[in-house]
Amino acid sequence: MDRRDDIDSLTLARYLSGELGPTEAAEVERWIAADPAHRELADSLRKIWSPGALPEFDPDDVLWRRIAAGVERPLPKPALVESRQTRAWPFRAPARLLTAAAAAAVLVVGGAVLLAKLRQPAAPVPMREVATRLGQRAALDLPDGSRVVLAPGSRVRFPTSFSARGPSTSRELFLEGQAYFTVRHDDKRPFRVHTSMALVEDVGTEFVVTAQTETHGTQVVVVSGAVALRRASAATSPPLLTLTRGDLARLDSSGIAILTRDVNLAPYVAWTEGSLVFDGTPLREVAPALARWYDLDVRVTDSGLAARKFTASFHYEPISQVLEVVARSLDARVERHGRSVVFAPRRPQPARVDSQ
Amino acid sequence: MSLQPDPRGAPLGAPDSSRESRDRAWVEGIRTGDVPAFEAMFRAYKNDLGAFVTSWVHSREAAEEVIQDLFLHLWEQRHEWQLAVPLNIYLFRAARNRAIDHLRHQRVETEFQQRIARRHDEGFEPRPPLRGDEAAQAAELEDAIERAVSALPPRCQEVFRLSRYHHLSYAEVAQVMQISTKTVEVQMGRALTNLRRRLAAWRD
Repeated sequence: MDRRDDIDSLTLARYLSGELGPTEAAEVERWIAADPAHRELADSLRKIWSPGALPEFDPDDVLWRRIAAGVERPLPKPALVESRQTRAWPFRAPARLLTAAAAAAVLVVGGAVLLAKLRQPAAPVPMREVATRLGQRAALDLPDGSRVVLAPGSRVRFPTSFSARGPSTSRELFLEGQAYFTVRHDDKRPFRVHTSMALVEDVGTEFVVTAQTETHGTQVVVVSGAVALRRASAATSPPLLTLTRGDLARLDSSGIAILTRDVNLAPYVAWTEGSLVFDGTPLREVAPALARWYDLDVRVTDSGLAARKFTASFHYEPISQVLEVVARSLDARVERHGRSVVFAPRRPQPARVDSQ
Repeated sequence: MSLQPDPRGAPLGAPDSSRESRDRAWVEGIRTGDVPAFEAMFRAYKNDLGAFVTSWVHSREAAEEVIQDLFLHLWEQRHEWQLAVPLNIYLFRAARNRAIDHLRHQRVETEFQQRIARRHDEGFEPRPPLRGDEAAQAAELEDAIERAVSALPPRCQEVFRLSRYHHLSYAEVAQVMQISTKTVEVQMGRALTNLRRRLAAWRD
């Protein structure tokens, strides 16, 4: 074959890609027509140059529904409350509300971090706080690369000196409510979550802490890695329990820890993805969960009804639908007026008159 | 001429002017909070952006996360959204930047480079085509092409995918990757040489 007649790859590629103007394209077509071997080459290259259709991405709209939920009920910028110098136990501190823009700036990972030394608990420590309202979730990237997802009606506080590299010897956070922690592990700087009742310390990576009135104490569920659990009053003692994946511990106000192993994690973790999952959960626990997640006032009038167990999962369904499903499956009736919701037993049917 | 966006979403290979008018209508709508326009845009671009991001992050879940963040961020900033480039370039570029960031944060890059290194070492030898019926042959060829494309060096592969799978012009590829059109031409020439060699067994 005469080498002078060979078209270089670059030009041939441009031709196949439709990037040549009419004159240049005509030249290539002449070359193709000049020799059956050229035509063969061009035909086989055309096949390579036209790959098949792309696969359908997100064919079941799972991703779209997550996006749609963010569009309709956006994951809002959490309320940032900057407190003045305060005692280390922060729950009684007064607060001053900042604007959302300032809040966003403070939450940026790797943003400017104060290098103030973390002093002894007794001395005042500048704290940052993030709080969610009822019906609102928030995700928060901490300066050390760890991540906190806050459930509705919750609050987490940490010193402003909480940082990736710094003189502090541990990473301390204070929690009211419920949060999912994904911890960037650091052997030299333990990650510790304080609730009014307990101290939960990361030994590995991911866990959920719940310190809410309806759980009567502090509850910890471990998703991966390990955590050490201590009573808040015995923070320097050896751990009460070390928990690993699938473990659930509940530390109640009488100080007793109850441990369940190998729990189904879904009900404890699904909320971080926007799903509410109930698995044999009594209505007396379902009701406050609905209250928190949909910002409602939910009452159950009958204690027998409150004990009935409910199993279902919801993913961004409208509240009217959720209430209907709960009522139907528990054979209850539900009444809703604005924010107020009441579950009551079904009215008894009128007595049948026996024909005998 | 009225600007009626095609609600089904015109294919991306359609003539520029109709796709561009459709895109401009969507952008205007989204800026004012039009959810159906936002959804239509997502549905029109999701297959391309999904495949493109997957070619970077190598996992469907990671690709979904990247695309979710991209679209949610876009929606949150919709009132301030200013486009200096056509929508398709904007979306590909944004997806690309986020995919690269994702790799950095996940520290998967090392793994990715190792995978690329391994591919080079393997010295991909394609199987010669089996004689069989036409449909089976066509499917085998597509499979062989995909494997050969995946074995291309990273930049060359990215250029090739954007051009051939996502139907971008050389100029558009250059804009998405922020390189020169000349570089795109050179990379496409290299892809041709490379693929021609690897797939020589398939020439009838």
